[in-house]
Amino acid sequence: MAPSDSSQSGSENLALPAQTPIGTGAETALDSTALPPFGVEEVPGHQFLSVPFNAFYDKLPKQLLTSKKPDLSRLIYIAPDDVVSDDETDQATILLSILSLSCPEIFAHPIQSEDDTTVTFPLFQPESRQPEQPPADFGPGTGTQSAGVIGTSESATNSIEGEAESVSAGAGDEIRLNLEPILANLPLEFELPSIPKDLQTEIALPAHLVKNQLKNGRVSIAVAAFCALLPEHLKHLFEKVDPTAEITIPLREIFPKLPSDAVKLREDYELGYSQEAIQTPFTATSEEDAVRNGDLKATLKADTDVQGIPILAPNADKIESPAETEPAAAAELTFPDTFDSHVLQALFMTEEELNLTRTVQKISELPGLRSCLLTTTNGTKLAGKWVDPQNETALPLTLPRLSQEVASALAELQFHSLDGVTFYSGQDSLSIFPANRLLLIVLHDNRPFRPGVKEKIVAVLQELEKIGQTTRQS
Amino acid sequence: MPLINYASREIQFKIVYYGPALAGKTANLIYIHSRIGQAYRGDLVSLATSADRTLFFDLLPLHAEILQGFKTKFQLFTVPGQVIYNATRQLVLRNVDGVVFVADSQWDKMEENVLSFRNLEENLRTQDISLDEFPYVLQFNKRDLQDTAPANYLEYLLNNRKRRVRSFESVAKTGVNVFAALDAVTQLLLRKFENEHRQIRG
Repeated sequence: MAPSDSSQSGSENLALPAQTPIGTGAETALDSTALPPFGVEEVPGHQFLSVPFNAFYDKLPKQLLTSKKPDLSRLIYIAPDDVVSDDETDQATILLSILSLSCPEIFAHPIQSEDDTTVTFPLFQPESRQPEQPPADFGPGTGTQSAGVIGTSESATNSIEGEAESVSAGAGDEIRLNLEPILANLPLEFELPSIPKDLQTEIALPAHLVKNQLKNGRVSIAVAAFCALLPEHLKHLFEKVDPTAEITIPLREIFPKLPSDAVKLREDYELGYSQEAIQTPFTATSEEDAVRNGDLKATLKADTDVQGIPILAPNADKIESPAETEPAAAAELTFPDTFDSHVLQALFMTEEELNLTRTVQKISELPGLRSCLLTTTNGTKLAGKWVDPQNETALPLTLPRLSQEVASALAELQFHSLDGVTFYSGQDSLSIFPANRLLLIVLHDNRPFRPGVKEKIVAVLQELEKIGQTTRQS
Repeated sequence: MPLINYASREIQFKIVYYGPALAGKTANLIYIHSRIGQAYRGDLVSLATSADRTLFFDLLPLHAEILQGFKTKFQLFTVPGQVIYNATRQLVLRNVDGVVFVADSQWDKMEENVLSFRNLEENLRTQDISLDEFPYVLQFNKRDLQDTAPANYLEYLLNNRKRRVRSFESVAKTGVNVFAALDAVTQLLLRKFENEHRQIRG
């Protein structure tokens, strides 16, 4: 049936005690004093009873049901003609085959004639409902219409999951939405007649209807209830639509109208993670990405003192970033406070005792060079200064990867190993020199290196690599 | 429980990227694959259709030595997000150690997020695993798109439980917070493992 289909009503076959068919005259059957059901829906040309699952679900033969229990607070819609009421007990009875047409999803298979018994349910509202509250309404302001605003209707009942009772909302407890985006969002199968253009009308949805569904990620309302909220001149749009079908209200329209506490998180929570971070193979890459994408931060990421991160194993190796070429973690590359390297002293023609900082400074003093940075291939700056402090942070994060990609591409073309790459840009040039776990980034004049400078840089870098490696092995 | 092979001194953790269809689970693995050096990863096995829909699962094996003396392997899986493939999801979830739940931030995907999250909880329950005690993090993906729900609504939908987990706003295609989420769930795994197997530590 769905509500509109009463052709299969088989009430005449039932042996029911002292029953009065509801809806033999809709005018009397739907009178609220004669029939206090869970709700009465009005759609142009139709009237229905709205009954929550919990009124009858437990009385259904278990063998006929699917294993999945429905939300018992959900409403189904039944045509008054399809039930017979008992005035003395205030109960209504319906054939299972008829009921199954309104909620086929709960039945494991169509009801066969041998299973077609009846089920009886109360017509009154649950006791939890406050008697003084008006039935099935959406609160003050009901039925009122102001300019361009559709008031909520007394006959409208929501289809909220988890809330069977049509609780009366307080004054002003409604959410007004523009009707146009709602109608524009309707599924094509509704096959509505042409919707008036430039529809400026607003619709006032009961706030509790919206709020109680927010947790489901979807807010919807039955066509029957939606129609009741529409102004008269628009109700015809839904004349041919199944009144039990649901209309989804776009969340993007709802959200700006919600009070700030509508999606408030519970306060009695416990943190499901420790504030104290431990280092994982992915920590370094995560931190690199965080710097690179500084605009989007982990929403609940705790501030972590990187230096203070406890490591599960003291010599834990990290998974390398693409820039890394050796399994060893370049971050662990350390240098002695002073170098005992005659090679470096010879290269710079000095007897000065050198260290890492002084060596890099010596490189930057070579003819034509303006500044240089020594980094590891995983982006850790070791020494040097850059003319632009901002780039000093960015360069170690980007150029090692670029260098690695260039080296990989050249390797595929069977070139020899990459000694260096130079980028010419305006008056400056940028060169990068990889050496196993080290990378030297140099800013220099926009002209070829002076004779011997490039060779000296490569030689110094190779010596530094040896010194770093020696330190690590010791 | 991770697989521990004392003979070969190997530990294997299984992390599953779970979430609704087209939320970006495979994109996570593709990015991770692109950022991990060849020496530390296997090939990304992906069974996807031309419409980017995962048919069975994606698998990315990673390895490192993080627990002293033990070669540590991480197997990253994705599941097909489409509702009809629940049997596959249940299969992939077997013996899972941690989950990165990838939610789609677009407004019209909110219900799918909720349903997928409930599906995760149900499927874990079939293995007698309670989500309230299970290591997982949330990733709110596609934050670069225009029509996205605010993060606080996604928190309300997916993280409004007694136990609040870490969540990350991400753009999997460009790698924003991809490793942060992986790092976070790995921390949970290692911490849990450490608590349960203190004797393994040197």
